[in-house]
Amino acid sequence: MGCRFEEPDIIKDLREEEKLGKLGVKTLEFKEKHQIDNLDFNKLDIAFKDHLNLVELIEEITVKIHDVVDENEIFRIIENQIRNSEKYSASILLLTDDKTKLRIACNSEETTKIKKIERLIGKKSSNYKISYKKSKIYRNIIDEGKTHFVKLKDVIIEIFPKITAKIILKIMNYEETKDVLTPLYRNNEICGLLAITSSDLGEYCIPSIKNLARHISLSLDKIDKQNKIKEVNKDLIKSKKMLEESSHYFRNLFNSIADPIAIVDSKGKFLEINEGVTKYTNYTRNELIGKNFLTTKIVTKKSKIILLTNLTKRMAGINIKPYIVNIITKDGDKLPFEVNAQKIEYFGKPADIVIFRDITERIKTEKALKISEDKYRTLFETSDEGIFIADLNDDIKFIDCNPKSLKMFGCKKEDIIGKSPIDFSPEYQSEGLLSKKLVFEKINDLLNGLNNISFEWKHKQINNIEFDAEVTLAIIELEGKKYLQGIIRDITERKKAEISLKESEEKYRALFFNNVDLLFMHGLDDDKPTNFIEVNEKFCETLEYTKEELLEMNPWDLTDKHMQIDINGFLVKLKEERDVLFETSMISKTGNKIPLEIHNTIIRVNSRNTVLGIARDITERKTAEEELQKLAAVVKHSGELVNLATLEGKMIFLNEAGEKMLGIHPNQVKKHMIYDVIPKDLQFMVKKQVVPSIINKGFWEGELRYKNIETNDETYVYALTFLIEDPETNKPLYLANVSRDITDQKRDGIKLEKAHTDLKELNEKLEDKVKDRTKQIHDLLQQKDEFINQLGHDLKNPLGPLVNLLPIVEKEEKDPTLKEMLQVINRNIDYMKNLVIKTIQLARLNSSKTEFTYEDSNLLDIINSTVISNKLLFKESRIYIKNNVSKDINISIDKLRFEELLNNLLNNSVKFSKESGRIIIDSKNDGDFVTISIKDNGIGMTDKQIKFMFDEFYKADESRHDFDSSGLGLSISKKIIEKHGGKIWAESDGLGKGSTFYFTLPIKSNEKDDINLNGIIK
Amino acid sequence: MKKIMVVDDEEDQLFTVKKTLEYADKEFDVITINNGTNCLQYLKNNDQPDLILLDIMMPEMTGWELYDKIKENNEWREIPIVFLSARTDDTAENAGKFFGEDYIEKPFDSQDFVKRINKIINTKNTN
Repeated sequence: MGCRFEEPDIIKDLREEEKLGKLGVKTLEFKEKHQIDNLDFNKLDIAFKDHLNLVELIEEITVKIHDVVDENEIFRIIENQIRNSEKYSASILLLTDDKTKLRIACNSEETTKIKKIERLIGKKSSNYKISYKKSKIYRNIIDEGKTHFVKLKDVIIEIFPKITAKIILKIMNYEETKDVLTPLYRNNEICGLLAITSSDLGEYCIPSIKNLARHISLSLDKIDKQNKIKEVNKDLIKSKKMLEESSHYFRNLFNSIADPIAIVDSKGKFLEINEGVTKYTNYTRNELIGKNFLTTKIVTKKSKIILLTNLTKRMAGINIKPYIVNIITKDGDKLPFEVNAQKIEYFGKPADIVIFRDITERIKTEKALKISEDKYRTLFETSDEGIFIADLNDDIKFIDCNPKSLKMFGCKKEDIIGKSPIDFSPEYQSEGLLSKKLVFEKINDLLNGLNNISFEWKHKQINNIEFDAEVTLAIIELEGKKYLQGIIRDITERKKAEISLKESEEKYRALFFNNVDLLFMHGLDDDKPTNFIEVNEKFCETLEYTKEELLEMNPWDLTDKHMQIDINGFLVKLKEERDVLFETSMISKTGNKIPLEIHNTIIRVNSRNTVLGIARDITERKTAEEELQKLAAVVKHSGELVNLATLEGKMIFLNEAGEKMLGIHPNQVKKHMIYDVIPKDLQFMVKKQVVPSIINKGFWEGELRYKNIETNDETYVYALTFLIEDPETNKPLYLANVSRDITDQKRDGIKLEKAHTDLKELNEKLEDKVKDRTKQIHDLLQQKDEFINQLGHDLKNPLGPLVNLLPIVEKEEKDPTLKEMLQVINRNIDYMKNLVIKTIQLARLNSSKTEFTYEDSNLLDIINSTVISNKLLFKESRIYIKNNVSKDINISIDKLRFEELLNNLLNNSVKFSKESGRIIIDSKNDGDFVTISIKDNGIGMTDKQIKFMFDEFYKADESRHDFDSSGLGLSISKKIIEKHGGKIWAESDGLGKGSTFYFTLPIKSNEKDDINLNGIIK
Repeated sequence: MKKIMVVDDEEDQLFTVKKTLEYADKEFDVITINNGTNCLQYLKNNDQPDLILLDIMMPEMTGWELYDKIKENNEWREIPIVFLSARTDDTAENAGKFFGEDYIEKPFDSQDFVKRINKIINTKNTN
């Protein structure tokens, strides 16, 4: 009670159980009379001895604390003395606000016990805060200032929570212990109380204890007195020191400040000056102190008036802002100073402390600044380049722009101020980088110490027209703040010129150096060509010289000397016509003669006539011309038909053998098309097979027949037709055809082929019939599925009102007979709905349109989740289910449908299990496939049942009207498993011996993936 | 009140949905509309419903067409639409779930139906 501290839970609980009763204070009734009646001299002797003991103890304490002037020391002494005594304990309770702090001094035996208590209640005794106001005994002592003699037990019960009190009393054995409580005073006010405790205390001890309390109180008073004196002394010393310090500080400050400082009295007489004054003015201290500034020449006349006016104002208590005066030195120099003065007390009299600040430099700087700003402004306004100033905050904003930049951006000043340079740039720069990002990079560079940076930049005008600019950025400081200064130069024209120059040069270089023709350039003197200026790679390659060698030569050096060219005539012609085409030969380094067709043109290079030659190596052409002539002779006399035609099919050449075979007169060749000699029945084949083959592959070969246009006789040939292409451009030029007469070999083959064809036809007919039948069956099946689907769908709509409204009717029906009828109806509707839905589901699974969406899953995970979702079902039927599926099998499945399959099989197993049956799910890994088994110990199946159970609408027990089953669950399961590429079957040892359903699934065997997956999951 | 609009060409279906919802929860105020034109007319002249239940197979204007018309209008765009159909093909179901808030297949389970509708309305209101 009245004591606030945390109690351990056990004690709290105990406490709750006990009803808290009000505890009265029992002052020990001391019946002197009785004691006298039963006077026992032995006891009296002991009591006397005890009393002496106590008196001795108290006296010892009193002596010891007599001269002590420290509160803590006093209590320490009391504690020590008590600790040495065997019988007594002392407590001192000091009041601080309404909380009181308890100090307990016990002898060693009790100390041990207290430690035990502390452990039990979980709190240190020294940490007790006792609210004395809640203890009646304490309150009596403190409020009334009386000494009490009580049983310690009562005190304990009052000041501690009940359980704590119980523990204390039990351990301390305080049953008979008495307690003398007496107030302690400090400055005539009660400041706490002293309690002396012992089992041997008697009322006779009270005076001694009171005496001790009085001594303690006196000591406490003494402490207070001494403390007061000490404090006063301390304050005095402190003030003195502060005074000294401040004076010292002032003097130091006064002298150490470089600026001149003067203290003048209210009339203007110098009372004190610092070194700054003598230094600046060259006057000595003695020349100034004691004199009035008005009588000296230290300031100009004008300044004297200002100073005096301001001094007067200040003395009148008006604050004056800093002002400027001119000071004249002893040498006659005039210096501007800013004056800042303040009224002070100087040795009790009003004075003025005047601080001068040399502003010569500042004035100079201001002047210079003004000039340079004017200059800058002029430059800014009239510059031919755009100049802007921008704020350098988080987003850069224009603050000012010169007229030129406004012109560049095509806008007015109000359009641009406050906007960012980014607003005037396209989103991306030509390198493809974000303008915004680039701008911030550049500014960062500047802020990191670069003086200025120039770069090319794409800007855009306010109407979004882009222009190229060269931008120079720099950081400038105005009035201590950093700004971004930019100079913009429009370089659109330069950029355009640069680009077109670059392009044309690139074009020229590409043309010159990569040309397949031989290119060269050489100069031209009056009478002969000069050395090569430039040659291309092809030229070097063909003539087998290096470029360096060729640049030392002229075209004349290379020309075949056997070619008799009139060089002078040639040059004249070139100069006149500026453009000459001719054939010649040049000799390569190894002596090869290279025939060339050369086209010379005169061009101006660096304003000099230069010949640009384009030569083409015509060796191949020459060779081909010769070869062709040889070939023509061979072809002409060949025994096989050789024929050339245009791409359109017009004949342009036919050799002798061909003329004979086709009955075409040599003069008439060019009048015929090649189709003229193809028999009618082959025309289609030629168009559909021969022509495409030539177009796609470049040739066709195979058997054909040709018709003689005079006699209409047909000749069997083996023909090879191919395209003749332009060797340079690869463009097809002609159709060539070589054909050999195979009429004799062919005649025998024809009969054989006919027999073969007949047989083939027969076969094909038979096959077609089979195909037709299969298709018919397939169509019928599909019709069945479609019919079921349609029927299902048509049934679903009218089912709605039945399914949704009849249950409401049933619920609301009060008549029990009608209610029962409605229940039967509802049950049947439910069954019907189930049947319709399952039927449609099966039809959908059968349909080829239905697609499964496969995803990779872990077999164990999905089986686990299905088992968990069916928990209620197993619980209701009290089925024990065990899942032995191994954990590292991954499969690719349509999750929803696979769950449906598992649900069907599990439901099936539960339905045919007896109560408290068991179902075991297991898996067997065969490498490519996993076989999953669901085994129950239910009613089992016959062989017949096993055979038909996966058929649609099959029910093992026809007689049973089973509302939960549609008879389609297993058919649906079978379809689902088949779509996954697996099989399903069932096994049973017969009726009553349980069933096992098996199904297989392909395993997803990508080990790498598995490892990664696991890694991620982990 | 939770205002639900049902659009279906069959009067019996409209009646069924209305009664099912109103029986399950007195808070439902079910408006039945028998074709697309009337639906748009109603939306123009009356307060917006909290949810529209839309049959897909309707003559003249199909559920899909009506859906487009409702979503084209800025004021009606936020009304949740749930498709309600006896169609059984995957396409209808997937498209219904993708475009609408939900797709409910007829015949529906009354409890599940009411639960789904309430869920959509609550989600809409919390948003």
